[in-house]
Amino acid sequence: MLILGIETSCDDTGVALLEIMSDKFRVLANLVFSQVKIFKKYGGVVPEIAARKHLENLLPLLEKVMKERKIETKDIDAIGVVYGPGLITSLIVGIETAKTLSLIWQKPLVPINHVKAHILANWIEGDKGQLKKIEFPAICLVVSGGHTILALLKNENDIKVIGQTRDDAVGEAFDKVAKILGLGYPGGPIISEKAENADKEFYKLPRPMINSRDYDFSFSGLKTAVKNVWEWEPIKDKENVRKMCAAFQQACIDVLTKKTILASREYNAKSILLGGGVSANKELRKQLEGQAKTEFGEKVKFYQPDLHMTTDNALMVALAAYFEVGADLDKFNETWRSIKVEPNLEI
Amino acid sequence: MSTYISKNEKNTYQIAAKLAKKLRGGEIIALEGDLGVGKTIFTKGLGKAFSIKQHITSPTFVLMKIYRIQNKKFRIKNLVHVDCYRLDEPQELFYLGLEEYINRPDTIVIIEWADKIKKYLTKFKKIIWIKFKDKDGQKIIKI
Repeated sequence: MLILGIETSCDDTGVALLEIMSDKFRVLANLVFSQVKIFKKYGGVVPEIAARKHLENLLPLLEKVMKERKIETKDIDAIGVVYGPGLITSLIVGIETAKTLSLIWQKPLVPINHVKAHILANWIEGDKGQLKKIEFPAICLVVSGGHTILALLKNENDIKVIGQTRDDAVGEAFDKVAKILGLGYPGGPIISEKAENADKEFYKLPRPMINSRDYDFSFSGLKTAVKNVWEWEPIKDKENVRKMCAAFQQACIDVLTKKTILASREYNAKSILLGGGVSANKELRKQLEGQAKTEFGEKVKFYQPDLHMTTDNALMVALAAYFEVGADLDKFNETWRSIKVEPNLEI
Repeated sequence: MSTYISKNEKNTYQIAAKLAKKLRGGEIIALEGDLGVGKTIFTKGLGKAFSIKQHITSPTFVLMKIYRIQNKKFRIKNLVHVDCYRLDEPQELFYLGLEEYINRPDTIVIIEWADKIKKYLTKFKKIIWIKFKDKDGQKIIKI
């Protein structure tokens, strides 16, 4: 079946076409219009502008994709769209567009949870091939600007949150620390770049909640610790900025990896997965994979999504729609009447 | 105006609980103070005072989060948590639908970094300003 995916939950407009036949997939298109350059000067997403940009870009992007790939409406079997969580103003653009297309084209509409889509991004590698055969139970660490979640998967559709941040998301902490250090937006890529080969022991930072007996996280205090230490630092030169980036990044990675490993042990996970924008962080990927190997050897397999699948995109949405549909596509024939945006949607 | 000194999170929770008792519904609680002075902790304390079981997490990313107050003993049914950290234009809050919640007798709106939209907030009546300051590791909270 051919699925059209639409993603507009924050500041990236995404359109994708995914063909799946009994576990064989082919990516026909996966386009993202990123607004990050626009928001650099604001130091973050401005909801009203983001929504307007989605509106300007979504339909042209869709037209382009279909024309280039010579896809006609009759070829499409279903539409997948993110209905939450995210920015309400951005979500509305995607949802209303998808609902209208669903009605006019008479195609089933599948509402998708954005966080689930990030998790399911692990099933695809490259442009075509077989869907990965990930063994269950699996533990997935979802890290992004808006989320820090540990999830337990019993299968592709049975996903349960076992832990999450109690205050700031880890990506948000990266953004705020970057701001404290005067490094600009978005914080993730800048901090990981500066941290490369820098001394991560020079500044001592806490590891919040690392020994709490649950799978929750807290990054607000860590950000405050960076701020306090930095305020007292008389020499705020480039070298020290790099050391602080390294110390902060390591503090985050320590907590994230430790809890992921603990959860994997408790739930006898056969697979460990990563997802979300912060999972593009090279150090996090390397260290989590390394620790999983040390801890479990070959018993547990480590997966990470392709780099372009870590940030928001519509391909993961189309894929999530495939899993959601299962064998019952007709169930979604009338959903366009009822689906609504849910900015605070949980798994 | 009263001044409180909070030595730790628990203190801040207590101060928030004290304020919670005085709220009648329809109020805006405007918090100002630098990064890391305890604004989110204060909000968590308020949430706890209203028996909200969910974790109150930072709304920086989505700008606004709405929590339902389930416990029937409270007249107040919604706690709306807003964060202006990334915001420059108050107009943005209007687009997010904040004004649907302001002045509602069953709703409390709590706004972090409210000083960024001070001018916009002056048009509303029932507003409680709270200033947070950090002094030698203790937090000074002025209500």
